[in-house]
Amino acid sequence: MTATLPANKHSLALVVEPDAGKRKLSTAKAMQEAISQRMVRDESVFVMGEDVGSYGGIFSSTTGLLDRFGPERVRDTPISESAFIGLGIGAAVEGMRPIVELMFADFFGVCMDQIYNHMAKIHYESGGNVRVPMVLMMAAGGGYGDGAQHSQCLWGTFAHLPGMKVVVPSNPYDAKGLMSAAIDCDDPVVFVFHKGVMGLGWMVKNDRSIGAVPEEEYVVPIGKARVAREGTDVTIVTLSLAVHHSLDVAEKLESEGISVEVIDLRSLVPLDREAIVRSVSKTGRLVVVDEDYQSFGLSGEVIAVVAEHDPSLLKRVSRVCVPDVPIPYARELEYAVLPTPGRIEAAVRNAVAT
Amino acid sequence: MTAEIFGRETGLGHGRGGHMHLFDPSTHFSCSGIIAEGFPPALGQAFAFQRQDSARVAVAVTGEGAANQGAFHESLNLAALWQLPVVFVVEDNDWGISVPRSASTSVASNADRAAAYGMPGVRVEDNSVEAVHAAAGEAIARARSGGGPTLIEVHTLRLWGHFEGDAEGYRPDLASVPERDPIPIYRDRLLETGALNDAQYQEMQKSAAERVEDAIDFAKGSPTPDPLDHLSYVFSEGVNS
Repeated sequence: MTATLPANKHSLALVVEPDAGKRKLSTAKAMQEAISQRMVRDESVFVMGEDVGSYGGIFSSTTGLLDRFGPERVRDTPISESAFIGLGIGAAVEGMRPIVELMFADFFGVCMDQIYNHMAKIHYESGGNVRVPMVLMMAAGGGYGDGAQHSQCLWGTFAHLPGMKVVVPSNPYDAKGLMSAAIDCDDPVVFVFHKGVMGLGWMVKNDRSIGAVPEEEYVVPIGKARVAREGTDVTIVTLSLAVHHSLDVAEKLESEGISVEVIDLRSLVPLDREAIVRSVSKTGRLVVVDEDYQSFGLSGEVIAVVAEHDPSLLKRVSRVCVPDVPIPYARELEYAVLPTPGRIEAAVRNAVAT
Repeated sequence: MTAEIFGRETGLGHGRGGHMHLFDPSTHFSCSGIIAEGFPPALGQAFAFQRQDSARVAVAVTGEGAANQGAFHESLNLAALWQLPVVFVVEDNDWGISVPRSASTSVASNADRAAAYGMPGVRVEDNSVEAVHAAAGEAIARARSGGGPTLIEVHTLRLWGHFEGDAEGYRPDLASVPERDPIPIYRDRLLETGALNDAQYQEMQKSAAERVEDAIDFAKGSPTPDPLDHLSYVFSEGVNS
């Protein structure tokens, strides 16, 4: 316990995107390491949520933290999302830096008022006088037969509502750097991790969910997209697990002479509009791949960014998203709606066909 | 605060919040326009005070209509579970806009609901300053000494419509309302017992009226926000991109 807690103890500037080095971690372990390193540095950082203690987070976002930091700073909560997310907000207002886990993004329905009317608006309503430095992390995404209420991405919904940063890492390196940046951020950050990028033994996963991560503390700045692969014929703008699929498709099509550029957005808010325009200016062909619902969301927003900048840049444009249907349960149906490598490949082939 | 209610740049939130969204960090005051949803953040303030070994106690106030919201019940459970230094206050004025308490609430006293969460519940029936003071003092002392939360329900009255311009056609007992206003009742009691003399009372009333007038003058004389500045304050680092 400390008598007083300074508003922000993160005066030590961290290295920005250092070399990855050789040590490999899963995305889950990279997130745990970021949280752990920030907790060592700053007493005001604490973790709270359902099953974040001895279970270590249903998708392993908090494994090992209870043993290291104890139950005062790593707290299991009752199944009362409004109460404990609101508790995080109030603690943040008083200068703490809570990391609150909403077990599934799908569960926002029971606590959205705290998220969009309180967490996201207090800074604005107070005219900048009250800050809410809080991380709200949550698991998202499908592909493992969990049905319509446990498989959604929904990041576009949070991004639509002003006042929250929305971060969606695709790999271990970014997950550590973005989590560190999120904890340091003086604004509320919604940190959405797809279950399929965590590198869990029991989950469908891509080899890219395990990768090189520096041991030192560092940040990946929030709001800066990454060119995951350079190319000249088609731009894929995507995020999260779909980055893995898109890179797989790009590697496959390279042998046929189709050069695909893959942009990993890394965050929806802020959206790196310059990175999108820069790439499409080069390729003229845009495929947006998003595991969120298609209509009224991120994919349309990305296309609008280009169209508002210069519609003549777009020779071809298409989307690979979840059509506007609840995520089905049966595997055959579920994989018919997810943005699979097969659907992405077809979209890229179509884009370069004319 | 008055300037904020008037939507002026000099207000607590530079005119961005308004009358339902007032925040004053110097006093740790905040409010929410959503019924019962101010309770969960109050838990967090209590949690921070506890972690900081502070003598501070969080006080969360709402109306009896809010006691039927989920966030109210989630908050009571979590506060009792973690023994947070918080006092919950329900102002029971018998009306949720036009709906009488009898049509909204299954129990005679919301204080009874405290038992369901393992915390003390107190109902103050007579709406007097002294009874509220006594109940609040006990609850605050309990919270401060590590005894956890208390739920206090105060049976009070609604002196006016729910909003300015509410004709209150649904409310038949309006004529009896002014006599039950606790402030003049307490004034009379202080005058009767000699704790306050008439000159002191006149001075207090004059000074309070002047303070209100000054606040209104300040608000009216303050500039309105620059419309070109409408993107400020979404995020802490400046204008929203």
